[in-house]
Amino acid sequence: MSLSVPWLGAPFNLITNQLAAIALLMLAGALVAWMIARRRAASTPQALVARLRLELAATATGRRLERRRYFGSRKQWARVGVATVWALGVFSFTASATFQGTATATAGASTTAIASLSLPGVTGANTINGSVTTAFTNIAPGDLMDRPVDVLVSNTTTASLLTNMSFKVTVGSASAPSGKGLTDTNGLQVWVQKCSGTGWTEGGSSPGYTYTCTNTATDQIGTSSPANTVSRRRRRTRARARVRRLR
Amino acid sequence: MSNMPNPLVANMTYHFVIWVCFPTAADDTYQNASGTLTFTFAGVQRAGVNK
Repeated sequence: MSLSVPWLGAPFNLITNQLAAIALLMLAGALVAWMIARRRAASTPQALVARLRLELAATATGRRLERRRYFGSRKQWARVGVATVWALGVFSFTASATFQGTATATAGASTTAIASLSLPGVTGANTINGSVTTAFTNIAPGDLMDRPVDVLVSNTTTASLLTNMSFKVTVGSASAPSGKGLTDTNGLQVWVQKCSGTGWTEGGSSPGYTYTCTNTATDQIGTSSPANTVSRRRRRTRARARVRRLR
Repeated sequence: MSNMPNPLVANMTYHFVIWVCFPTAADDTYQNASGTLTFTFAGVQRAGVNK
């Protein structure tokens, strides 16, 4: 908070800063110097002789040497002007003040939320398909490949911060017909399911491992794998899984 | 993803299986093709609120 006390220059809106006040003082000084210079010039012998001649001439002709002044002489008005300007300048310096009241409140420490996901190893999946990083090789039309993935939301993640999870597949260094095997009409297709509870149970044997959910499996990306790509054995396996889910 | 719990629970593991299939309609132009698949799981943050 601050409060400015009105000062002399403020009502006229002329003296707005210290620079103006200094200018006023310099003007007052200049007026004083001018008056001193005029007084010295009037007191030289030549000036006195000239003045004497003018007075003699005026006496001889009966005229007044100087016009009669009813409101003071030029010298008196100059003194008044000097005093006024000087006073304005001085009061401009001394009549202004600023008061400040300060109230400070410090909030508690501000912290940001934490969101942390990781991909721990899939428990019990120690076979060739046990890692999502295992490559898909020698793929032929109609093949179905599956990889289990566990996603861990860390215990440091702020409660209620994450409302969902996004999944994205990107293809790099592709040599498929259009260069992007996922967007081609006949390119790779992806389907993601989530299993509740303890997760997926691995079965089968290399390389045709299967993953079944003993609890509830829900589609996360896509709604089903294209039927014509699933082998007869896989169809039977998944049909059994669906029956288990219905039970 | 659809059908995920809201919000996601801290210290919880979510079990997924990624199925990738190669359609039977793929023709000979796909022979000897290759590529690198990258799977990305990301948490979706709630909308901002007044604090």
